[in-house]
Amino acid sequence: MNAEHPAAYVGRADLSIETARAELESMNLRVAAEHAFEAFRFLAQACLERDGLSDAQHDGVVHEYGHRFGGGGRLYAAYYRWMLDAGDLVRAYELELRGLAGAEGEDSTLADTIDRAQTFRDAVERFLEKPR
Amino acid sequence: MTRQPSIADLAIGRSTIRRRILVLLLADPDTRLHLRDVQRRAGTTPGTASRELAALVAAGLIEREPQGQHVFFRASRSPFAEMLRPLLAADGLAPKAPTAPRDDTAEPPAGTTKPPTSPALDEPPTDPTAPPPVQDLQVPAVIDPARLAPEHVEIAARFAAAMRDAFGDDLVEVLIDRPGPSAAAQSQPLSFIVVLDEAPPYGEALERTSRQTFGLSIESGVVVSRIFVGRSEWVHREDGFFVRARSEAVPVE
Repeated sequence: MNAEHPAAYVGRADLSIETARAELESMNLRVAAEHAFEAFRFLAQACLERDGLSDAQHDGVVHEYGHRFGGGGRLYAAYYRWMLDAGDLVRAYELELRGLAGAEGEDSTLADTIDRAQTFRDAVERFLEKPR
Repeated sequence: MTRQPSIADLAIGRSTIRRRILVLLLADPDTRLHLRDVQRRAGTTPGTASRELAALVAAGLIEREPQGQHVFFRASRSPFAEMLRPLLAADGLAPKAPTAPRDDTAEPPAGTTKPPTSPALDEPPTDPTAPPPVQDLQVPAVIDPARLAPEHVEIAARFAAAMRDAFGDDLVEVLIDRPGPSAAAQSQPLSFIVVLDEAPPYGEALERTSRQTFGLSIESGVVVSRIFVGRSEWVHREDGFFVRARSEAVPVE
């Protein structure tokens, strides 16, 4: 990702969350999961940008966020846990694992994932407002 | 297995949470529930419960009753709600027992970044069911150290122990996918394949192993990733990933 102002990444996350909700409403669960995880990555990137790490490679965003923020202290540790779970959920959809296919309650799993992305988004916004 | 759509599906959509909330409230017209009760019994987050309740109120299926500082919800007496009740009953739906209360979405108080409760979420996991320290583990002989970086051997052993604790006799096998001999690409996830007797409800499997996977990622500095596969699917699927993984993945347990 090219370097952007952290707030721009929050804006991208907003769009991803909105899209995820719409896709969930339409029961396009795989697409909803992808957008939810995309929101987590944008928010992670916003946090890294605030720390001056604008050259984190795409695949390294989750790893770098975990290294800097995942253990808690500056941001609630659960946000990283939710991020990891969201990524693994997307992977399951990509592989079309049978544990997902039409399983009762999978839409509630996704609804929770999207809610968690929203909670993380709000926390990142507060974090970015704090003085360095 | 995908359930065939019913008339109730056409009326209210296929959202599982929406259906659970309706069953909770429509099953007994005298039931009045607070938002927190609805959220807990439907097994979802406050945000999702609030959103679904708002939609159902707007649709005239349930009613909102403010009482002092509290708000309760109950079934509407509208003809549509009355018509829907037997349709839901015909589906044989009953409020399912919710999963473990999801209390970790509670936002920290404004102006802070630390949670008000659950200190374990900001500390290294101390859950008693967490795997024992790595020096106490017998590393399974099936792990071929020549195929794994030394630090991956330790992570693999701890992850396998965590899966054993989580799934017990349902666990068939744990494998590392594309382990590689080098740990140079540390930003790449260490990906595990968890083979279970039967493919589980996926959200439940993720939730059951969430804290252990997170804890291991934090302590090892490596992103630990996992997928869950039923035994039959692992053995019989012939598409690209499965064919490759069966030949390349390294058994851990």
